[in-house]
Amino acid sequence: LERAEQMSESNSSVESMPSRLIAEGVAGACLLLWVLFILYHYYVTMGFPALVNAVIGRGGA
Amino acid sequence: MIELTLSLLLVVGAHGVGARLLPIMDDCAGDRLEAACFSLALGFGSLALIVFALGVTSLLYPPVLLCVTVGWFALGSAHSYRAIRELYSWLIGQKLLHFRSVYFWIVVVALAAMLLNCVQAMVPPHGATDPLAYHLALPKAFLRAHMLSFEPTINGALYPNNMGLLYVVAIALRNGIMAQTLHWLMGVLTCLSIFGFCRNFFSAKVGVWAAAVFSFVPVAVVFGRQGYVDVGLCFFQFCALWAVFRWARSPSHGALLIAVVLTGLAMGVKHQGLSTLLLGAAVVAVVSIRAHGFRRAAVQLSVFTGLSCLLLAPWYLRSFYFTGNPLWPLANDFFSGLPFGRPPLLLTGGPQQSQSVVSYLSAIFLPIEWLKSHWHSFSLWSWTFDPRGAQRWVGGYFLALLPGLAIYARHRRVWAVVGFCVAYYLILIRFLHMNPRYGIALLAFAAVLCGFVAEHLASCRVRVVGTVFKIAFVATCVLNLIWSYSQAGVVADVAFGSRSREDFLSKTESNYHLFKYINDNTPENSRVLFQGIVKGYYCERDYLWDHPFQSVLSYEDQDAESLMQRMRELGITHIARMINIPSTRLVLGYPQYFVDPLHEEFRKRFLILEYHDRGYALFSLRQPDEA
Repeated sequence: LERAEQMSESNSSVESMPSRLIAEGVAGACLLLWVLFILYHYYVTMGFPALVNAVIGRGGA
Repeated sequence: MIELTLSLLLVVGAHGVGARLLPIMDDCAGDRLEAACFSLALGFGSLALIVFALGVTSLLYPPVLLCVTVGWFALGSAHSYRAIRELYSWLIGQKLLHFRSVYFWIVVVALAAMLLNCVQAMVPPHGATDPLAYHLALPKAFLRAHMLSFEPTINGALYPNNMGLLYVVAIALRNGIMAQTLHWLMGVLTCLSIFGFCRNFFSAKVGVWAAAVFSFVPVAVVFGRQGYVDVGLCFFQFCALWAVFRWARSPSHGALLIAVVLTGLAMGVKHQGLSTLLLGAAVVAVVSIRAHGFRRAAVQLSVFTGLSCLLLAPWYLRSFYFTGNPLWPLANDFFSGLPFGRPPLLLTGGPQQSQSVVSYLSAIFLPIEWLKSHWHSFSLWSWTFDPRGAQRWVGGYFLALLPGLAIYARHRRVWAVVGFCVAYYLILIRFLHMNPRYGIALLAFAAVLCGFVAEHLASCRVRVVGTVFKIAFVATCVLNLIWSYSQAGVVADVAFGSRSREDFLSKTESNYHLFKYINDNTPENSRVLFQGIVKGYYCERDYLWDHPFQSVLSYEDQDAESLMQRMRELGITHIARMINIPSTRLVLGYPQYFVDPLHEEFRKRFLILEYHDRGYALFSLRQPDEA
């Protein structure tokens, strides 16, 4: 009986694995999108593209 | 480079002395990095206390300071040597530092950016007002007077100033550049402490992310390389609060004693350090009540508060001795201290001139209307995208990563840090003028939370998420590096000696020529009145401000005769005047001297022009017989 219970528990945890993985993946992807959006917006707002151009331009000159 | 080397030697000395002091209080042998960080804070604190003792006994002479510092260094030299060897072997054994690891590249880019920031610290103090007006100017005034003198016209003359005492050593041994490099090193040590804290409470990987996030926080970068005190305050505060957390995890008398001493040292850096006491006391109270009940909690809270205030007491006694107000000029109405023109506000948005304790207490609560009207000044969104000055420029990582706590924060330990940060944030917006510069330690703890989220995101089981995040983070690190590079490039010629410091200062500091003239041409016992000028760091003579907020010299209800009489009473021999006072200062109450009837009459009757350039004029006062 114990063995059967253990197998049943193990089966249920295996079945829940993909759904947990999906949930984690969706949450991670949403957070990643937020992070990318904020960081992109931040660096553009603070004028980093022009700064990089200036530094590369100075290096090239 | 000499300044940087000397500052590094001070760090080594601080560690050595601290490592001797630490075992007296508690055994931190279990974690060497934790012990090293606490030792550094204790060592610097011990040096500050020694300089304080020299200051009140009128022994602030450069040769005395040199001898004392060498003796202090020698006291811990054996520990320092051992620590350097241990650090080397620890670095070699680090698995994280493999070039295929993203952590390795984050560390490399962060270190490179720090070194570029150091280049900017290696030029003479220039530009920003606060260091040249008081953070560095006061230590120089102390050295001129050979004691912790009272300069009643200079802002913050009697505030707690442990960092200022370290700057006294730096200026006595070398110059203001050494003070700046020392302050920059405090930022580096804060990154090390953040790593150590995370390694203890979370993991080393979280520590790498967190330290990297903090190393790129613009407010810490910009002010850390100048002669301010805020990053130094952050280092002391972070160590103190780390010690409080350490006590909360495994309470013992020794752990509490370390927390007490470090809290006292942090409070002694600046009034804003009092937030350490508030937060530390809150943690001590909560943990003690839960573990032992109210009676024991009251005892522990009293011990924590009382003993840490003992380390702050010398500063308040000094202030009380000179003015009758331990907080002078704060709460001057309450203490009836020496009059001051316009005392600074204690509470943001509080009463303009509070008359009672009740009015201060009533101002602590946050009315909804006040929150609405000040939202732009304290929201993280504004600090990120519209910071309005470097003081509020916190960078993009906090807004990007902190929301991730909603997904990943499941452990009580994380929520404890979150709650702590929220409490600190409330203190910042109500008591610290909504100014992130006054609460960089909050950003350090927020960086810990960012590191926690970053590590979870980077190790997401959906590998593409982790990979994209790592690439994006390293890319932002490189952008920050480019920013540091672009700024360092402007002053690299001065830092590395291909351009003279004299030439640099004469181009960047508008009053440098004036002060050079004063230093070269006026008697050593001259006393100069600054009119419209506050940045007096480069003046080697005794001086006063005629800042409208002070009450030593008032122009109200004066005529030329009585003004001359007052100036003679004050021993003023010269007047250094800004020719055209800008509108921003006129609003504060400065007169436009050359069109003001009183000052024009005074000039014609009593002043002799000695020097002038495009921006400034120097007058000497006529002697009584000449007048």
